[in-house]
Amino acid sequence: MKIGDGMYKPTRRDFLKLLGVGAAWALLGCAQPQKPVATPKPTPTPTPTPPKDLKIGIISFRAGPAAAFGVPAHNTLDYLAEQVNAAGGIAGAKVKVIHEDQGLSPSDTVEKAKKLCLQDKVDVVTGIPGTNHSLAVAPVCDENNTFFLQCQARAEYGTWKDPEDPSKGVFDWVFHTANSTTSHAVQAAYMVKELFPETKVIAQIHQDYAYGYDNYNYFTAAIKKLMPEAELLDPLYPKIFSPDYTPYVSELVDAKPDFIFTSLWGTDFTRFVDQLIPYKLLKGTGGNTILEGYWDFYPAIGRDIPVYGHPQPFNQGSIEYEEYRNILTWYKKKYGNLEMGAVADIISAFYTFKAAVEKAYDEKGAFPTRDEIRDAMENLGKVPTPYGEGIMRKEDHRVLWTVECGVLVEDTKGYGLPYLYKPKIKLEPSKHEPPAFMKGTDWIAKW
Amino acid sequence: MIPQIINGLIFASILFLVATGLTIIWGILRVVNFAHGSFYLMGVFIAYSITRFSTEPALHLAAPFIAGAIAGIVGIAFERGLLKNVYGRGELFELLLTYGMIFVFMDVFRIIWGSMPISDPTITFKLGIISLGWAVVPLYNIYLIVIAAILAALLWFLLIRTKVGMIIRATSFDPEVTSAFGVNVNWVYALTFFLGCFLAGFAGGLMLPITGAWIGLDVDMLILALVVLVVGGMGSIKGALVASLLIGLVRSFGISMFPAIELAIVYLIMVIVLIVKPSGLFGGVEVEG
Repeated sequence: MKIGDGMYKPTRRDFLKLLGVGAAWALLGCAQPQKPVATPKPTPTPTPTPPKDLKIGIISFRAGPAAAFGVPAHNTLDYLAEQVNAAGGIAGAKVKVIHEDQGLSPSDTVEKAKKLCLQDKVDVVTGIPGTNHSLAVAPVCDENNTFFLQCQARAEYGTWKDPEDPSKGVFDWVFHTANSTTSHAVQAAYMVKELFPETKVIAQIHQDYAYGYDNYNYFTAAIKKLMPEAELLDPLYPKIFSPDYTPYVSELVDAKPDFIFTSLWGTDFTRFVDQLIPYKLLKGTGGNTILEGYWDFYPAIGRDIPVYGHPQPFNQGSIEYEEYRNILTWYKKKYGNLEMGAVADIISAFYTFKAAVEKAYDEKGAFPTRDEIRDAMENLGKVPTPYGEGIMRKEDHRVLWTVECGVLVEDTKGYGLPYLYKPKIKLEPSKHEPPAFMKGTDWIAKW
Repeated sequence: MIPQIINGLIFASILFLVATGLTIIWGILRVVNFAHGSFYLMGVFIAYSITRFSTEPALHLAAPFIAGAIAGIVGIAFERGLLKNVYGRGELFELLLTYGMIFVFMDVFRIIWGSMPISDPTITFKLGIISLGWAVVPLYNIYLIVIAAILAALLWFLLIRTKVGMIIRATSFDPEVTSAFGVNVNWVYALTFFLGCFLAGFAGGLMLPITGAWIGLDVDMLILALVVLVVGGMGSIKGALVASLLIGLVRSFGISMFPAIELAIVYLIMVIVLIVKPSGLFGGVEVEG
């Protein structure tokens, strides 16, 4: 959800690793060429014999600045598997989860995906924030007839065989179960128009990579259509995983915009907010500026939201669904923190797979082959989840959601979760997701 | 402009503390402590643990000092327990040991504090903001700059005006002759490591309210500190001060004026210094004020 396109910059650790390894080789005089990575070979399609278990492999960050996004995904998948297994499994098969820590380079992630497909022989690979990582993994899973359920990368073209040429169609085994970057930016634009129509000056701050640029482009295009009279300031682009936002904060404090839209995610967002709050620019802290961004990251590091009025436009699910609420409550109780977006992402992937297996099982009357599950997934139609139903769009393998977005208010219903929206707006998929095989900017240009 | 100067000074203050610790260790022991960033990260984590006890501002202001002291003690243990065993075996051994410790520390931090990033801006919120006429600034930011300046002054006083400082400088110049005068050089090494690691841990503790911490921040900070060392000159505290100010301010104004090449400018400075004056602006091998 929070990571989109682009290459990560922080290869310094990789450099240090190489430095250390090189020095060790020089010292020990035992440098040997690395074994070439095995070329993935197609996995034979499983037989209809009921499997002992269904294996789901998850690749997501377990440490570092992106851990606030990755760790909850790992934890939630464990929880969902436990719950389903306790209820008898999926069509009688127990779910086994295999965890992999995501590396900073797409090539690392590809190696992890190969390991999951070839060595662990998983049925599903999921997680994988970063569209560049996700695009690299898609053909690996496809070649191995292994489901790749994208839920933490956001590009609407993530399932396409060629992101530059939609006419080539989609990968057979790649599906996208979460909202797109376009959806996020368009939701944010609708929120400004619907909930803060008096807005005159809008600032933006995004990470300095493709996901940030996409957000800027989509949001700017949408605002120009929805609120052509609004003044859009030049965007600020801090480096991804930057620890220090004070120079950017100073720029914003000087500009005093009515509204700030940010796609900063993970602890980039929390650091930015921590450094912004003392200046009393934001509404609820002594100022009048509305900040719209990933507020679910704020309590993700174990802190309650200290100020009033935070738009939260990006969650698939509503807290009003009891089953969903129970998952969130369990998470917060067990881990003392909560990153709602990552939890929602994994739910979307897990329940899409579960629904497809059960549909194929029901149609066949016996445990289905992986091919049969794939066909069922493609023709799934409605995707039931703890936070309501998504709709599988067969053409481009994307699950679309009706979203609710609004302003966070205090826990007025005693749920112990700071995620009730008021006021809020509801958007059908046709309002915030581009049509199949169309990129966001092309779609918005036609509004 | 004024806010960007203050931002630059904040960054420069932290860089100075970390780089000075690194340069002191280099100056005395001739060891580039690749694990120095780990002591910075340790400082943030320890300060975080301390501030869990209470939201009292006094505790939050004291946390960096305690964190620095603990980091210093761990530094002594590291130097006495591990590093001293490879003295004289060549720089490669020291490099590998200190480099390997980065990963040891990472795993220890992960075990103790978990994988999730941490932060605690309580003190920043509590101290509020101060209007300087031309700019509004969080009071904590001013505190950070002032406390770093005081520490720099104390460090200068310690090294230049005290007997301990004289011994440290003498050891830096010639450990064998210093030893011949009855000075326990091992003690000087341990003290030096304490001082260097204290500065790193203290800087980390100071930054808890602003940046927080995560596994991996240690390497980021190490690289920046190394840039300061290269620009300022290895072993020169004066060089560390000037280079920290230069890089801090350039980065801050770079973000404001040339955001796309903000980091490139910092590294460009390093490249230019390497070409024009390879020993750094104030290059020298002995610890000098």
